[in-house]
Amino acid sequence: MTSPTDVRVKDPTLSLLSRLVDDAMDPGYLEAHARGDVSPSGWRHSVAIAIVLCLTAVLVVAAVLQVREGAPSTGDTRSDLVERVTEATQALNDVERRVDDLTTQTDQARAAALTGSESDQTLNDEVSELESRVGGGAVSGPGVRVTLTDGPPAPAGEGGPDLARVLDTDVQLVVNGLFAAGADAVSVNGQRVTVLSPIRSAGEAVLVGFRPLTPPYVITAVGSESLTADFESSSARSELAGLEATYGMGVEVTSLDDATVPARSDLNVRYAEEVSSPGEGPAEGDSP
Amino acid sequence: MIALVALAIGIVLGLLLEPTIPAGLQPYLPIAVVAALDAVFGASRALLEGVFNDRVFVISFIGNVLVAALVVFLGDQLGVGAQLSTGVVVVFSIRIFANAAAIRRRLFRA
Repeated sequence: MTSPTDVRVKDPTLSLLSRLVDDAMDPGYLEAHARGDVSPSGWRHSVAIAIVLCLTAVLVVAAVLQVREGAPSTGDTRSDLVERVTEATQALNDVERRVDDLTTQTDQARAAALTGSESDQTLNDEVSELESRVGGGAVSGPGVRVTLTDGPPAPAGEGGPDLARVLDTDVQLVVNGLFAAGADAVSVNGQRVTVLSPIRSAGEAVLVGFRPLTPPYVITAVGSESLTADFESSSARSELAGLEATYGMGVEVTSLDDATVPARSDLNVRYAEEVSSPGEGPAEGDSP
Repeated sequence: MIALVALAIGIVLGLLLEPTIPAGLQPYLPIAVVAALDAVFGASRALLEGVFNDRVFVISFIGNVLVAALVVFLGDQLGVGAQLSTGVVVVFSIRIFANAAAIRRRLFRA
């Protein structure tokens, strides 16, 4: 308030500022001093001061830490997002595995229920047949494995897609070629290809059944004994050979004695019809 | 002496415990810090001028922090939280500068 070096500013417009500066020290100190309220120097008072100062330091440190954490760099944001995507994918995989388990259980229960009479047996066979066609059950038998790997990258600076990479059209070519050669079931990197599985690209990734896959693309097909030979002599194979020669894409065709193509994981019953013939149980319910 | 030790202990504690402020209180933390610093600077000046009083210090500290947080909270409710925060920070900065200047004058006679 009345520090010896103070210069009173008379200008009223500055009174607010000048008072702010003059009263910078809490006026309470001077008032207490004027009252003769001398600060006692017992340990209790020292402790109080120490606690307050300690608290101040903690507050400052907490604020600094908070600001540092609150302003994550873009790298942190990115890695955080990557982590979340990985976690979500993991959760999805877990749930799908559980769906697979439950589907297997349902299939077993149905097979157990459909034994006995001949009509039951026929129905069971029919279900199995239809299932393998729509990708509902795992299929194994003689087959062929086609592995596609990216060719050496094209020199930088060229626009357009890098044709040495395995593109969605290349995967489509192999899958269509295999089906044309008589394959019963085809999977790409463990993803069953059914009539409802699009093969397309999103950015740099190839998606099969809306699932992004990473190279190398391993396409497995199950069919008859002659599948490999039929595929080797197909037009798709000669087109692949062209890609191999032109872009250096890796194409490897291996004949397998016992190939396995997994069931489609997201198979839902979309249409059900009640079987009305006598003696049959109710139709399978709809489970979208 | 006690003051410096207490400050050091506070810094170490803060770094070790990494206290997490509840999300609801986070906007008031910087304001509370500025208010606390103002109280500490005021106390330092009072100490140098020989009028220090621990009761006034503790009460001014708590009062400063609470009132500053309250003003900003009110501002938040009224939709002028950012402006009031700025106002509080400006007032406390001016006080801190004035106190620092007074301390400097007393210590260095300049």
